[in-house]
Amino acid sequence: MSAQVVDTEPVRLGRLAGSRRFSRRGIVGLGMVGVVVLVAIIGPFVAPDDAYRIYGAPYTPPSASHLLGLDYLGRDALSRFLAGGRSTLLLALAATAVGYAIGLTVGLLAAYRGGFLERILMRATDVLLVFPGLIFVLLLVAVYGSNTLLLIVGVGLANAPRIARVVYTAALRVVELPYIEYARAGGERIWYIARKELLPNIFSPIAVDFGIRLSGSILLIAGLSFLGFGIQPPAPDWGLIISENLTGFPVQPYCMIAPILAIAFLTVGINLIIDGWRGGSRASKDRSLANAR
Amino acid sequence: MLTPDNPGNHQDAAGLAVEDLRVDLDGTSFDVVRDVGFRCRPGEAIGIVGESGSGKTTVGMALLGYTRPGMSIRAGRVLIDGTDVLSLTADKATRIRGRTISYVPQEPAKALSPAMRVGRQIAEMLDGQEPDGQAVADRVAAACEAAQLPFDTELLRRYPHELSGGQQQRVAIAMALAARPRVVVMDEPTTGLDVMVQSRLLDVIRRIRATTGASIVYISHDLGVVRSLVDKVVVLYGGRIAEAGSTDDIFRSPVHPYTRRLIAAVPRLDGPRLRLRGIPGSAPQPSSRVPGCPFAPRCALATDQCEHQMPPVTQTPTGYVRCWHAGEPDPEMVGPETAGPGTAGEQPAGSRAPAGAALLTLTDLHAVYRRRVSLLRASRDTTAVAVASLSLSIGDGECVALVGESGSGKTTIARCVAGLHRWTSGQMTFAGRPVPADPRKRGSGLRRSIQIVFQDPDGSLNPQMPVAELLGRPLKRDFNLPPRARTARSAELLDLVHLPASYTRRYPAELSGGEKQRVALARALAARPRLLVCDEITSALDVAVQASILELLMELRAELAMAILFISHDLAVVRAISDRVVVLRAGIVRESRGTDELFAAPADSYTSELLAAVPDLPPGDYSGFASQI
Repeated sequence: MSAQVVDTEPVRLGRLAGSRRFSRRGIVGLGMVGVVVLVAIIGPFVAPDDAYRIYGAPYTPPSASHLLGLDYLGRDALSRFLAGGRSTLLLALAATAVGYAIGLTVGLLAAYRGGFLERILMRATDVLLVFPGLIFVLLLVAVYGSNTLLLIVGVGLANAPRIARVVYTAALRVVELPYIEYARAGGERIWYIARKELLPNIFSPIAVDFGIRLSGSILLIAGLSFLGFGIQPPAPDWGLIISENLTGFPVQPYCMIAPILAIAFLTVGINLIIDGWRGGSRASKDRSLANAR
Repeated sequence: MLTPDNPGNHQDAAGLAVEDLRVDLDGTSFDVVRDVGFRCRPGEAIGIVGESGSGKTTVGMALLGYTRPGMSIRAGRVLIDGTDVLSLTADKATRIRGRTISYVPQEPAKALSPAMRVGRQIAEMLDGQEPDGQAVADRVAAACEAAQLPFDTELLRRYPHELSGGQQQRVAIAMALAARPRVVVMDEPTTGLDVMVQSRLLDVIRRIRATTGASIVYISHDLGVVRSLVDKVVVLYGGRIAEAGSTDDIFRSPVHPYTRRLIAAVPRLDGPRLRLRGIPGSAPQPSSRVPGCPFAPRCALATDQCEHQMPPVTQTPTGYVRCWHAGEPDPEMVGPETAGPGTAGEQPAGSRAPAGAALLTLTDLHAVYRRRVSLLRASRDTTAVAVASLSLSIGDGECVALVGESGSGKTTIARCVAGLHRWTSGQMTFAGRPVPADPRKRGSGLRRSIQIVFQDPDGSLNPQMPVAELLGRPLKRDFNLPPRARTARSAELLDLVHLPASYTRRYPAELSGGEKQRVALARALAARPRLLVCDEITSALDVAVQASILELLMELRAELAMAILFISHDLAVVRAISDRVVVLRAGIVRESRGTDELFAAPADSYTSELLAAVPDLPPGDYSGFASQI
């Protein structure tokens, strides 16, 4: 009997093309996001010109010396695009992280503790859910004025109730399972239960939600910058670049085409990754069928 | 009379005939089911039995020309009154489903549309068959009558969620009968239902068989139910028929080693209290079968020939068997008589219960269930009484069984003892000291002393943790063992539950149901408990796996000298394992006595009712022991 028990650990294929974790669609998404992230990281170092210097007349069309032409003040559009990715991505990541710090705590606590605490937390979440994200951040900006920290916290707060809802709903199914009860009967602390018993088992919906929140944050920050409440000029930022040059769109569309494409790539790419992610955990697979094929 | 090769060569083609059915996994050469053939005449009932993974449901669905996604019917014929279902066009096949052959699924709650009134769901089965509304209503009434649903318009206007489990299943049966089909396939229709509800439903099915003249194919792993219901039995193992024959022959004198082991694993209400024996190992996946007899890897009689060559079909008085060693005695099935006195066979019933101090006592315990009504105000929540004024004590090393229907409060008691449910009043003491309801207030020693194993093997283990971590956590938390000592002790614990030490690397998804329960047991034993609470730990398992878990539990109890609070709805299981039985109904103790006295002569009328509802094997059936055959 025990002679038959051989370890069935699958060989993880190194090649992406044969990935067990992502479908082809997911790999395309990874590629798209990878390109944008690469641009954001190395962009500032490879920029041909100074992002802040004025080189000629506003809205000069593309030429050999300025591949994407000049923007509304006569600055090099390509260099501003290459320099502007970092702030967009970092802000979005930071804001999503803030949102998760709050949303995860609230969602898990409400689902696990239940009772009075659950009612208070989830009703408060419902109230906050009423405000659209953009309006919520605009409200904060109107009261406290615009700065980077407020932007991060504001966008994070706008995300938090939505995250809390997703986490709460996912955790609700798990908290009643016997293995959580076993941990509870064993006197485990809530920190251990949340970290080891709850989180790993609601990882899939949370990973999907993380992608949605991240691309949402990018759009929200770009939108805020576009409205003039996000990143302040003259800083190069993708959202800001689009908003600054909007009036020149009929004469010189090329100065804004790169950031538009980059944001589109990023959001589409993230969504493709989410779609193509097969759930990486070994535990979630029906191994009998997988082995048979 | 069943013949394997050509069951359809009878003069009259009436009824159901299945020939050489084969279902394959798509894109592979693995077969899920192969060479399955049987015949069921009008008014006859045939049982298809086997463990989970034996291909029972695949066969049942294939009779309707249907397979689950990922499989397809590769060969064979399914003849109903001479017409081959499998050769029909998709369009025609759809039309005969529900009319000529119908299907009663295992979980009615999932099979009924939640958005449609049940009356309409029944009427829908008659789509276009009757000229006017009155005729349809008459047919619906007839179907309800057959399924013994009270035919009143009020009930038919309800939605599925407004019905009880038993009523839902009757609606599903009424749907299956509405179009007066020639064949009804029932796939575990009573599994998951309460004993009492099951017993009433089985009466319904018996009546249908007698009155409608339909052929009934009854798929189940519950041998007691099958025994009491069908004329013929097909025993399926590894997708192949191991043995087939009349019900009496199969149960009284089975010849295939698998059938013998399966029947011997059924706990009985009559006869001596014998030790149950499981079948080691688990049913093979289609991809891991040996080329010969699929049972060979688990069979005590297996030889090289068994592993490599498919055994030929041998005729038996009322059917046939596919085995190289049909009818040979199984060396592992040795009775207490031949093994000599004092060995494993007879349980030292009653003698273990000590007269000394009680380990656990519950005094006047009350517990309620909360139902949420208001979104905001907890004070508006309603409560339902789960346990009322319950007193109970368990002696050191004693095994006390708690039995009752669902809703009797037995699980609530288990949860109170384990610290998962707060009781509203009353006391609990353990070894003379009071036990608080909150597990965090119990202190590490008390928490360790009381351990629980749950019913649902799939939910008991965190799917993201390998066995090493599942067992390692209580060792670290409760004993603060260093990593190396944890590994050693984990291996020791796995050995205690008869699993190889290599299992520490496995994840729960890589374990079978029985193996999961063994790991859950090992995890509970890690704490070296003095009281083990077993909440329906075998009710989700097949009969053979159940027997091996019970066998293990008795062995552990003798070895580790712990008390057991064994919760179950199955009286036959309770009889096999407990020293004392407490019968509960609606949160109140009806009877509490020594196991032998209670089964010899139940004092309470409710106990007798429960006993009568158990679909038991009759005393003359095969038990695995020479003296009894």
